[in-house]
Amino acid sequence: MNSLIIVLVVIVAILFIPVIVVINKFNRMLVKIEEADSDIDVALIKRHDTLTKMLDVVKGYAKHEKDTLIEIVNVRKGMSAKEKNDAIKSLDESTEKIRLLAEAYPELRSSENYNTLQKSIADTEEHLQAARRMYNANVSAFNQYLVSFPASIIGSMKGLSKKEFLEASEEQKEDVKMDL
Amino acid sequence: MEELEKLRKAYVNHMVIGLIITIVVVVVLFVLYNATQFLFVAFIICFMIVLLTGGSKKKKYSTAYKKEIVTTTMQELFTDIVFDYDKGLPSSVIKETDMMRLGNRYSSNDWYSGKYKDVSFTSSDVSIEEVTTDSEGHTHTTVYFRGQWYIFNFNKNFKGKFQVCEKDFHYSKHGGLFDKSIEKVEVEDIDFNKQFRIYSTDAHSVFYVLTPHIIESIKKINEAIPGRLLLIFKDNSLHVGIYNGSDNFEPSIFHKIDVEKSKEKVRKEIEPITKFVEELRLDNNIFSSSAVQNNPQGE
Repeated sequence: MNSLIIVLVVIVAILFIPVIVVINKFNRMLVKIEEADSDIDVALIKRHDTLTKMLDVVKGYAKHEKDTLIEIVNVRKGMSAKEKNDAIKSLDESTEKIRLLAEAYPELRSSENYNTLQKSIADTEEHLQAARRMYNANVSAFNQYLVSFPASIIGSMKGLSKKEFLEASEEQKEDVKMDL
Repeated sequence: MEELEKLRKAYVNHMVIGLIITIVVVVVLFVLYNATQFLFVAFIICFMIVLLTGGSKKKKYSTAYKKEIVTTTMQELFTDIVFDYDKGLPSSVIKETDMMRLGNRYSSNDWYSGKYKDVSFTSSDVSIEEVTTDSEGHTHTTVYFRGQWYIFNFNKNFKGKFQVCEKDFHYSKHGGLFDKSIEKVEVEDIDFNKQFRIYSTDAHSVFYVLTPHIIESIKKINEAIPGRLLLIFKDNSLHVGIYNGSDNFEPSIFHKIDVEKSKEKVRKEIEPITKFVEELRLDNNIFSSSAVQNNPQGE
């Protein structure tokens, strides 16, 4: 009788230990994705703030230009992957518009304030790209693990599904370049 | 060059004469005393005496070579060059990274620092070993590192520290089983992950510093430079360890110095500096709010 109990305990342990290992691995992966997601929020907010400052500086030089009506999209924490993709695209467009507007003012382009903000934008862009790559690397690892056996069974029992990637435009795939 | 050749010949002559005397002593011992059991010991003792007495001559020749050939070549490529062949990189500099095992025997020489494309660097030959004695009194030496250690000012400010370590570089340090402060990170480049391991205290910094361009450059450098690679990014500095088992800037004893060939050899030896600065674009300092001047002095 005792040996039967021992055998049963061993069988249960053999069955459950891998399940616990897989669940823990899923949890760790989800935490990593959340952290990377939060990094993207931080980078997006920083980029938004820097762009707003930049636009204020440009407006100071181009008071009478109607083109200064550049809208900088609002960003907030906890946006979905699609919302983030849209926000990144919109911020890219605003950056380009501000850069084009500034080109008409050589004294603006040579001002220290403008150059400092340019550097800051390049740096926030690098941080954003880093956060996006880290998020995608974590999502890729998670998605691959989710379809592998036996994690796929435990994943579906836990109701887990594949995560969306954050897309990158061709420009974003390259390293940040600056034209100072 | 004539002076250099004189010094080389003086050393070679010393060695040749010493070897002849050694052989004569061994032959005399054999003929007069038929002391076959002591022949090997006698040979070793005599040869050690020759090596020891020739040490100062070798040092003179090596010093002259480093002054005339190595320093000149460095000055042609770099600015602000300080080359002190008697000094080495203090072990504390490597210890502070906390990412390389230090063993119990450390030596370093041929310390130099300078600037290439306005990027400050320091380098030195470094040897790190672990010497242990087992219960039977046998001594074992494990070589942790033998090669060159470089430190560059890095052009990005980042949090934490991380290492990029070639998979067959065995003695880097990256926390223990229960050390949760350092985690293994994988980037999106599958080839890179196959060649290197990354351990970091801050995963975001890894992706911030290791841009796709930097990842490609590290792979390219790894193909171009022989040896096993360890890169440590810490305190806005880049430490590079190249484990190639070689001792840089040592002159050839048995061949007459050919200035151009010797300079070419030195250029090859200092090539990692130009490669790292150029490939990793360390001279592009748009992200660095302030240049960090933290090059350690030799000791």
